[in-house]
Amino acid sequence: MLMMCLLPAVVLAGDYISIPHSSDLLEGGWIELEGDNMVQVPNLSLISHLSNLTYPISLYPVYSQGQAISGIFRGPESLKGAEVEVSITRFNASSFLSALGILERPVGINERGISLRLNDTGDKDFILPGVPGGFYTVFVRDNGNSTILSAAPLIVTEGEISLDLPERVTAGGALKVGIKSHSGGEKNRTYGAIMISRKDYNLSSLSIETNSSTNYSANSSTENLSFSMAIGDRSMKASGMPSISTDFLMKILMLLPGNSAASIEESTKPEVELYLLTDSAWEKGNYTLTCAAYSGKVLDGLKQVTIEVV
Amino acid sequence: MRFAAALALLLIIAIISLSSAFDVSPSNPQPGDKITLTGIASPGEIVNLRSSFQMDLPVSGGRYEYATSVEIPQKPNRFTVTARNVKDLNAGVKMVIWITKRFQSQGGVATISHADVPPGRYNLKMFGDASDGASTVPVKVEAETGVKADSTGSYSLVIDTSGIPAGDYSIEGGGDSKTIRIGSASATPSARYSGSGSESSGGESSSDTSYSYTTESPKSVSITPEIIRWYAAKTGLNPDDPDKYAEAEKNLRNRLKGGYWLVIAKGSPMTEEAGNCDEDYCLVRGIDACTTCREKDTLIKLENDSSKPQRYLDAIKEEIADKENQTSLENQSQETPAQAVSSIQEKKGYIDGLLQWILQLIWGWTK
Repeated sequence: MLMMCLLPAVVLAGDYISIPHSSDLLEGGWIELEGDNMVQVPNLSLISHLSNLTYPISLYPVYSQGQAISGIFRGPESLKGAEVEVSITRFNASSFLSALGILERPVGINERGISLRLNDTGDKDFILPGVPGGFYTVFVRDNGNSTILSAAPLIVTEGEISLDLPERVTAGGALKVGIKSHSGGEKNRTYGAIMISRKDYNLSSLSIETNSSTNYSANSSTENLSFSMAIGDRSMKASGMPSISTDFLMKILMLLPGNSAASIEESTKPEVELYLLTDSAWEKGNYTLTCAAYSGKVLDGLKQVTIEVV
Repeated sequence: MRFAAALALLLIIAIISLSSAFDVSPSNPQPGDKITLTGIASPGEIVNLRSSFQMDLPVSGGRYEYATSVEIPQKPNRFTVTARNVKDLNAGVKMVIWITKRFQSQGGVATISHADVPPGRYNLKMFGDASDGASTVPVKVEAETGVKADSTGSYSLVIDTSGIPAGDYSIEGGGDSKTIRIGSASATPSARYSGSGSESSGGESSSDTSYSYTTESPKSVSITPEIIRWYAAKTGLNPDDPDKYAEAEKNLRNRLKGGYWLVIAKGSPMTEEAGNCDEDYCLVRGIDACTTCREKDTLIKLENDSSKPQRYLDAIKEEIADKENQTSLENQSQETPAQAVSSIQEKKGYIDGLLQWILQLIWGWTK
């Protein structure tokens, strides 16, 4: 409350300001989403002149269209008994980073959500109705104080994909992966699969950092950010939030270790077989295989499994 | 008037002759040799040269495959692969990582064609399902590039035949066409590797012990019932079952078609291994197999042979890695700092260009 009094009166109706977070999953003000189709994401660091956060969640669920979204808000104990609202909006990088205090700007939220009362430890589980395929942000806010308590990105695919593949592949052989899309029948799709050693994938990291310390201002934007990504001992850095482009994908490709493989096919059929080639010199062990089907602007499905190279 | 017309005709013929003829050296290269094309054209003229070869890949169990390492010439260039009797064609390219793209066939024909591929050496793999009933998959590979004649009208192009199987190789350019034969049945490859190391003996290490092998042309044995039974057992088929025996025979014959694979008897020198075949029979890659493929077979075999010292294995691994990575350590060590920087910049630009082409190949994006 004291902090609110010291801040300049620039917050508009429908705007919310963030609260400090910590990297502690249980007390740091995080949303932990739940689901059956989990995907491991790279370690994420969020850095500003005010905070240096390590995103404490590495496994993320992928939802399909219309599937109810469930999760737990883990707030600090100081919020016990507070009335909060959980809502979903279309993903906006600036709003997401602002909600976590990386960008210093208010977050505009107009969507209505569901109301919750936090328990004695400042936590509360929730279930939200499903949404169409796309990228979203789940927000938890305190309407009474106009504060954003937390934000979490949300991936919703148009449908689901199922995979047909062996548990292991011999180094030097080809891994055959069957991908079947359960949405939409025949239409133009791009199917892709990428395989990286589990060891390298666990070492992969993303870092988003603000370039300078700015006062609380509605002018803070993602242009003041730097983005870096590392896999193993290779890394890349860019200014601003990268967009999916040839240049960006080229940089990602340069980061991949030699014992990685990718495969792609464009097809109108709902089912394809992709082959990922390996070399006999590949290190034996577990590899992370991520598969996706993409049509138009929406992901048909996304799945991640473990494959053993022997 | 008639004299002027005749003179003009002679002049035209002379010009055509000058711009159409090219020489090829050597006239009978071995696989892996470099072929040099030289010719005369108009000064500054861009001469389009197209080379092609065809091979018949055997079909085994309804599948076909081929692995090689090829040198893509300078830009501008175009590289086309056409496979017939196929249901699909999977094309894998390795630079940094393996990237594979699948192409469905139309009418049993699958074609991949791309222009302005960054020049360099690539590991390639082609494989897929053959059409029902097909016993071979004819594959035609075409490469096209442009060469600029200098101020005197002279032009030359060096073609690396590594990765090209023995057989006829067609070259067209400037209205002329030549067919040369790469390799011959009686060719005996010379020693491809020798290394030195030491073996401990009574706790002391001795030097000057060299481990070397020479390769000879493998002598394939004829297919007999005994060999069919051996192959059936090797592939998990019961040779006592008449149907499985027939299946094994069919698979073996398909596999041996084209000369890519050979069966040799015990005691015969193996194409790609230090030592002889130590089983009753051995299935080995023939001289039409890619060099890197044979060397990798050597490595796998030697890794299972505890009698070979680790230093020997490490040396072979290093040689394979050098060939695959196309490092120029020897050249770099002789470069001045300025040349080294330029070399690094060229390499970076080359890698960027290659990656961009790979992404275009996969996603059809253009910058």
